[in-house]
Amino acid sequence: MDEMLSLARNLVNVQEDERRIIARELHDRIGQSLTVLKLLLNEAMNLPSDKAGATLGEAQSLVNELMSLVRYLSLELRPKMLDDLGLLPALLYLFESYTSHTHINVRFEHYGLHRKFPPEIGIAAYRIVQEALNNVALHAGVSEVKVLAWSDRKVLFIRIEDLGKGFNLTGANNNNGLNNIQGRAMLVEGKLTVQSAPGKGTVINAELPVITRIRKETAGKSDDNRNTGR
Amino acid sequence: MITVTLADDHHIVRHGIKALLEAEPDMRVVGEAGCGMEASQITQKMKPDVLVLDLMMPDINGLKLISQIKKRSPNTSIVVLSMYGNDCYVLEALQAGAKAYVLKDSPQDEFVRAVREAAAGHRYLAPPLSDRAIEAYLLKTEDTKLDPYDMLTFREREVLHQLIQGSTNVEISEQLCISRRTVEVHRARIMKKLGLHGRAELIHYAILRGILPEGK
Repeated sequence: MDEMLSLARNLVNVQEDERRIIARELHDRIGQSLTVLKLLLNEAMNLPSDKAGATLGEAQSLVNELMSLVRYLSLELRPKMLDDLGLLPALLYLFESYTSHTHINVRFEHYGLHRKFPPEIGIAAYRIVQEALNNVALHAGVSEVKVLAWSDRKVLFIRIEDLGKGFNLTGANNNNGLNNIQGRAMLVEGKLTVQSAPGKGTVINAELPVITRIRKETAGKSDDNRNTGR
Repeated sequence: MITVTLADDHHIVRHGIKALLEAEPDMRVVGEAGCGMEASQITQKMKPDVLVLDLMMPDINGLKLISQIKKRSPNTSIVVLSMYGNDCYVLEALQAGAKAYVLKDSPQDEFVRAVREAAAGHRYLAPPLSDRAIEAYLLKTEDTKLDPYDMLTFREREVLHQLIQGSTNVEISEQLCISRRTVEVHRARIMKKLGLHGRAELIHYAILRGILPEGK
């Protein structure tokens, strides 16, 4: 029971942290850019039309910046790709953007991911990988991380492995990232192990059931077979 | 004359596209839609040369919409106009049957060109998108060859380590609190995944791989 309570508390904290980041980005970057844009447009309106070009050009490049920022934020909030295209494209995109932000290369090996997973499994897997990679970027001090994922009819298996600094597992209780990963796995009745020691790198293994209990129950009640998540 | 229908849930966007296309002497917008359902209906009714489609419609997944429309109006070429230029969307859109893909922040002439190319039946990706990038992405989605050992589940690994230690099925079933039958199933799956036959091969494999029982 205690475990459930602390899991719930962690999830709420994580959610609040994420909202804080998004709110700040909205206010600081989008809000500010919009203000500048407004000023530029005012300026252009007051200029003779043959002189307005440069100002409008500036405004346009600001609009392009804003568009890419909005795109980035909406993907952070919820990887739409996961809903639209599935786990594999979402992960590939995550790695691409992770590498461009952190300069840490992701070596990705996968098998059997060309399928739709139930939404709760897809998002759990995605967040586990995302959180583990963030931990690697923050603590491991490496230039490469290996991610392995495979799936058969019953399970989705994920491993995130780095050869970095590692940490002492007994002192890791307060690591928000790790708690969050554990919570994500627990919520879908998956299993998760973390192996690490100072100087020995870190290996996180997660095994998520592809058919969750909720879905088994639903499938039992009707012929609507939603195992594939379609 | 190239006939075009537009589908985007933002009125202002449609308005802008329409003005842009109608400035071309040989293009005419013959219908507009604000949601996926409307887009499908109007395209089926008007059978235009080109449908300009935003991938992110509020009601229907844009990719599903593409394949649906291709069935109902096969001669209509679809130009996707999207905020998202990620290779995966482009690839999926092309695979679903789209002819061209343009980003919403592409220059105007790229967009007009895409409509023209699509109308002529040519595939067109507006820069910075490229065929080469799409092919590179396609390669990344292909299954990699994994080490069979990495493809064992947690439970299979536990059973494997017990087997290597020399435990019998009965001992394993007691140790892991599972039935003997389940142990046999695990054992069979492990041997199949690792491509091994019999205990001698199993021991040989364990030595080669340097697999020690867990916890030691």
